[in-house]
Amino acid sequence: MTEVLEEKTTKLVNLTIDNLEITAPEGTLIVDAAKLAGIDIPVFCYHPKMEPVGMCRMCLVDVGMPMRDRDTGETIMEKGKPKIQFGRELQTGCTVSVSEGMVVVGYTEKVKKGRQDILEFLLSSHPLDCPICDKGGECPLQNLTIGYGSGESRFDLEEKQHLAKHVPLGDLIWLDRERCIQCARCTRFQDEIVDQPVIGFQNRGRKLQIVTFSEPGFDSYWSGNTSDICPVGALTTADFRFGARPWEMQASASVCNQCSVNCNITFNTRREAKSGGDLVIKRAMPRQNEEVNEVWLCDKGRFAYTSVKKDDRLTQPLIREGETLVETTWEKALDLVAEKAKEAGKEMVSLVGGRLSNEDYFNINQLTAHLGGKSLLNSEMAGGDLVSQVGLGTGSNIADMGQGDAILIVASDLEEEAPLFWLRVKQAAERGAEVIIANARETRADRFAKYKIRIAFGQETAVILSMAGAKEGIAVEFLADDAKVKAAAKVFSEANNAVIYYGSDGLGLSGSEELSKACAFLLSETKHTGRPNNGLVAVWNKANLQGAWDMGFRPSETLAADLKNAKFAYVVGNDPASKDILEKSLKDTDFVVVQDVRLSETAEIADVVLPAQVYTEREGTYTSAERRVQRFYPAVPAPEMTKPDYKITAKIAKRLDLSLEKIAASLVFLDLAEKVADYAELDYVRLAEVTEQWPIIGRDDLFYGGTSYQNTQGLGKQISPAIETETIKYEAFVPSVLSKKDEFLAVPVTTLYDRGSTMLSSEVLQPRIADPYVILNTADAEKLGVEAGVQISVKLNGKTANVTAKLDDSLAKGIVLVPRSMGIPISDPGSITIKAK
Amino acid sequence: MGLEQKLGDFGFVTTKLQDMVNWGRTRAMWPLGFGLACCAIEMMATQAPNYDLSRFGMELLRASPRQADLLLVSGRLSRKMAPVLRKLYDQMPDPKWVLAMGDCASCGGVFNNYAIVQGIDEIVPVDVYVAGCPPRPEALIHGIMTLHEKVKTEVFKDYA
Amino acid sequence: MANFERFNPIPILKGLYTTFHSTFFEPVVTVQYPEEKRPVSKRFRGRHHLRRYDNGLEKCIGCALCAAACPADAIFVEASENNDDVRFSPGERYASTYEINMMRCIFCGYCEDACPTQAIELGDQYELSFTERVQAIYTRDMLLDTVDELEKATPRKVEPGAFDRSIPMMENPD
Repeated sequence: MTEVLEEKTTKLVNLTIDNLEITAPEGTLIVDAAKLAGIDIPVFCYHPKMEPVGMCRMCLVDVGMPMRDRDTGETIMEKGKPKIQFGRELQTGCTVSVSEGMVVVGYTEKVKKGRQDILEFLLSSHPLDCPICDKGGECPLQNLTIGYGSGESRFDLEEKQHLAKHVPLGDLIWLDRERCIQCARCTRFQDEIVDQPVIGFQNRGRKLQIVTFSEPGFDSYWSGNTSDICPVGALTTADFRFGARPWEMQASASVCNQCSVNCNITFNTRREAKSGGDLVIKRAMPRQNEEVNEVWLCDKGRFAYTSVKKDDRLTQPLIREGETLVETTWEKALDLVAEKAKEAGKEMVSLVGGRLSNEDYFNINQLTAHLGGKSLLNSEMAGGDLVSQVGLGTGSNIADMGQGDAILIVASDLEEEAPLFWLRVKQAAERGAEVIIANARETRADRFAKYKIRIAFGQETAVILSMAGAKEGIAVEFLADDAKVKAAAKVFSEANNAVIYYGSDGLGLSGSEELSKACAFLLSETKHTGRPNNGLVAVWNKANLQGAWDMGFRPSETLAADLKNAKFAYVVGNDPASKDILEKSLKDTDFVVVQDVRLSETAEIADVVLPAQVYTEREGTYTSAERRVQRFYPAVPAPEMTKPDYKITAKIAKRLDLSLEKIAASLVFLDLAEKVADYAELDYVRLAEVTEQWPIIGRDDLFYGGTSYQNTQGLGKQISPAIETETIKYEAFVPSVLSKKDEFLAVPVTTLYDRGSTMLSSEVLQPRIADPYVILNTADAEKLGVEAGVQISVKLNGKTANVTAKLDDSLAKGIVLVPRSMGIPISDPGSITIKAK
Repeated sequence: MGLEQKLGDFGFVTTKLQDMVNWGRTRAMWPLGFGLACCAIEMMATQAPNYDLSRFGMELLRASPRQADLLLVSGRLSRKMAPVLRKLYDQMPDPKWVLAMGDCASCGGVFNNYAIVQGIDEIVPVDVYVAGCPPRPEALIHGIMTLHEKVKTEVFKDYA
Repeated sequence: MANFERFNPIPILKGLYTTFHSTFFEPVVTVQYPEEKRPVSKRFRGRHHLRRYDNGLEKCIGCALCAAACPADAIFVEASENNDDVRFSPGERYASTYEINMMRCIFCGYCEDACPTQAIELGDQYELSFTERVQAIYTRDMLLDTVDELEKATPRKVEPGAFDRSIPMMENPD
C-alpha cells in the first residue's frame, strides 16, 4: 500500500497518529496517512482524487508538533522524548500535510466534541428521510452520524429548512436540496476532474444550493460520478431512483462493453416484480482499477447496461420456412447449419462484430480456418495488427505519465470515442505531459493540449509522417503552420515516454489503415516502443475489436463482394444488413446464419438464427485498446434456450469433425492461450489476481472514496507487444486524396450518445439521444439557407435521409460531419448532397 | 336434493356415494403425530382437553402409521430425518393426507440452511400448509378443517 | 383369587369419583373452536395489516426496512415513485409491490419495530392454512386496510405540495 505512494516521493517522514508510529511520504495529507495506517479520520468534502478544500470540517484532529528551542532550533526533550506542543484549536486533517515528528490525535474528548458539533450542524437542516433515500444504507452521513454523532440535536426542529426535494438536474441526475450538506464534491468533480463546470453553487449560507448552468441540464458525460461521490443522498441517478435498497442487491463484477477502454464495473442485481420476478440489473457502478478507469465511469457505461430490450430478445433458434422464420430445436438448427457449412467449404465467410469475447472469436476463427473460409471483422477501423506489435508496453499506466512525456492524439475526438482515455490524458496533461493534437476539427481535448495542429480531413497520415521526418511524397499543405508540426515532432521524439492515440475521426477503413501504419512508423522512428507507457493505442469504437484482431479477424475493404460471393455467411454479433449495400449482398449469399442476442435486421433475412447470450449472462474476457485482458462474470441468468457464442460455435464444429472446447469459457481460454502467442502466459486465475490499490475505496468506509466498488475480482493483465521481434518499416506513402466531386464532403465521426442498439435499449438515456443529425459549417449553411435545428434532406451513398442540421463555425468549409450509428449509414468519407427543405 | 323434494319427507336423504365416502373420511381421520420440534408442543395441546381433537373423530394421535390417515408433520425436518418421514408416509395405508404444521415444515422457515429440508413437500406430497411459528392449536384445527374441505371435493376418479 | 384379601376398592373408587366429579360438576374446559373462539391476548401477533392515515393515504413508503429486519426473509418490497397526480402515500416513494410470505413469516414483529411510519402492524388473525404454497403470498392489496369512503382510496389526485414528506414531521422534544 505504502509503496504506491513511496514511488512518487522518496522522502519519508515519521509521525504518530493515534499512538501509532507510522511513516508516510512527505506531502501526504493527514487523512491519507491515517488511511494508509488503517486509521479512519471521518471526511465529507475530502476525496482522495480531488484537491482538499476543508469545507465540511469533519476531519478535525488535534495536531501537535515537537517544540523547538527558539534560540538553538533544537528539539526540546522531555523524559527522553520530544516535547509536543499541540495547537490551541483543532485542525482539519484533510488540509494539513504530514511532517517530521508530528503527533495527530483523533480520540480525545476535544476532538470527539468537535466532530459531534460539526455533525450536529450538518444535521440541523438535514431531512433525515433515510428510509426513502436511495443512499440510505451506503451513506457516509448516516455512517458517520452513527459513529461520531451525538445522538441528539439541540436545534429547534421547527427551524429546519424545507426545500425542493425533487429537482431534476438534467435527465440523469435528481437533486434533493434538503439533503445537500454543501461539501462541493460534485461541483469540484465537474470543475477539477472533468473540466465541465456545468453545475455550481448559488446563493450563500443556508440558502446555498446546487444549480445547473447548461442547457440541457447537467450536460456532461460524467454526471453519474457525482452521485457516487456525493456523501449524502442529494444527487441520485434516474435509473436507480427508488430501485432497491443497497443491502438487498447482489454485486457481480463485469467489464463495460460500450467502448474500447473496458472500464471495470460492478452490476448490482435484484429480483424485480416488474420483470416477472426475474433477476435484473438494477444499476452499474464503477469498480476500482487504477490502471483503467480509476474510480470513474462515463454516463454511457453507467446507464446503457440494458443491452437488449426484453421484447427484441432472441430466445429460441429460428429456421426459415418460406418467407417466415419459425421456431425450431437446437438440434435441427445446428444440423442444418453444419450441413450447409460443409457444402460451402472454402466459400464460407464468418463475419463478427466488435462486442464478442475473446473465447468466442477464438472458436469462430478455429471453425472458419477448419473449413478454409475467411474470418472477417465488421469494422471501419484498421491497425490492430500494428497495435499488437507496437502497442503499449507491459506495465503501462497513463497515470504514471507526466513531466517529460508526450501524448499524441490523432484523428480522434477522444471524449466521444473513449471517455476514460480522454480523462486519463487530461490528467497526464495536468501532471505536465505534453499533449499534441492533430485533428481536423475542434474537440474537447484541445483545451489541455499544448500543440494543436489543425489539419484538413484526409491529411492525418501526412501530418504523422511529416512528424516522423519522412518528407518525400508528402505534398499536402497543412492548415497549421509547419513550424508547429516541427515543434510538436521535436517534443514527441525527445519525450521520455510517448503514446499515440489514433481514432477514426473522418476516416474510413483504408484511411485508418494508412494512419495506423504512419503512427507505428513514427513510434519506431522515435524509439517509443516496447517500453511501458510507450506505444500505439487504437481508439476502437467497439469493446473488443483489439481482441478480434488478436484472434485473427481482419476487416475487409471488399466486404460487400466477399459476402456476395460466399455460399455460407456466419454472421455473429453484428448487423451488416443495417447498411444497405451489405444487405443487398447478403441477400445474394446462399445461406446466412445469424448468431445474435436480438432479432436484428440481418436476422430477419437470415436462413437460420441462433440465440446467443448477452455478456452480462455469461463469462468471458475482453482485450482493451491498451491490450489489457480482463475477465467479466455472469450477473444475471440467461434465458433457458440461449447459449454462449463459443458453445454454439463448438457445437457446429463438432458436426464438422472439429473438436472445440465448449464446456466453459475458462477452458476455451486455455486453448486460446496455447494457440495465440501473445496470450500464452494468461489463464483465468491470473486474470482474477488483484493487488492493493491506492486510494483505498469501497470498503466499509464509504465516506472516503464514495460508493465505487473495491476490486476483488481481478485487475486483468496487460499483454506485451511483439516489438522485439519485428521492426516497422513504412513503405511508400500514397496520400489519399479525398475527392470532392460535389460541393460537400461527408466525413464519418463518432459520437458517444449514438443511436446504436445499446443506447436505444436504455430507458433513462432516451432524452439524451439526438435525432439523426449532420453538422454543417455555419457559412455553408447560410449559403444553403439552412438554420440550426431545421430538418434537411441529405443524400449519401445513393440513399436519401431526413436529418436535423446542426451548425458549427469552427468546421472547415465544405465538410459535413456525419455521426456513425446515427441513422445514416456511413463507412468512408464521400460526397454528400444537401437540400434545404 | 332432488328425490326427497319430489317425494316429500320420508325421513331419509339421498346423496352421491362419493359425497358420502368423503364425509365418512372427514369424520374419522386418524392422525399420525410426527412431532419434530416446538410445533409438536402445540400439536399435543391440540389433542389435549382444551382443544380436544376427538371432537373431529381424531381420537388417537399416536406414532403409528398403520392405522393413520393423516400425517401431521410439526417442526423442522432435518435432512437426516427426511428418509424416516418418507418411510412412515409409505407405511400409511391409502387414502392418506399430509399436513405441514408450522413454517419450518411448510418451507424451512427461518432455517434457510443446508441441514433443514426446505419444506417437507420435497419429500412427501402436502395437502395443507399451516402457517405460524408455531401455529396456535386453533390454527392447526383450522388447517384440519381446510383439509376436510379439500377432502370433500375429492372425486372417485382420483381415489385410485 | 389369592390376592383377594389384598384387594382395596378405595383407590379405584377415589379415581372413579374424580372422573365422576369432573364429568358432572366441573366446568367444561374444551373450547369449541370453530364455533367458539377464544380472544387472543393484546400483544398477540397474527397476520399483518398495512395501515392508512386518516385521510386514506397509505402509511407505507416502500423503504423496505421491514424486509431488512425480517429474520425469515419473508417480505419483498419494491418501491416506485409517487406524485401528486397519482398519489399512494405521502412523499416521493410508495411500495408498488409488497408481498409477505405467510408461510415463511415467524410473526416475530420485527417488521413492526423497524417501520418508520408504523405502516405495518401485526393483527390478531391466526387462521392461516393453505392448500397451495402460492396462497401463502399475501400481496399488497390483501394486506392494505380497506377504505370506507371512495374518495379516500389510493391512488388518487391530491392538491400539489400538500403531501411532500414521506415521514411524519418530528416534534421537538419537551
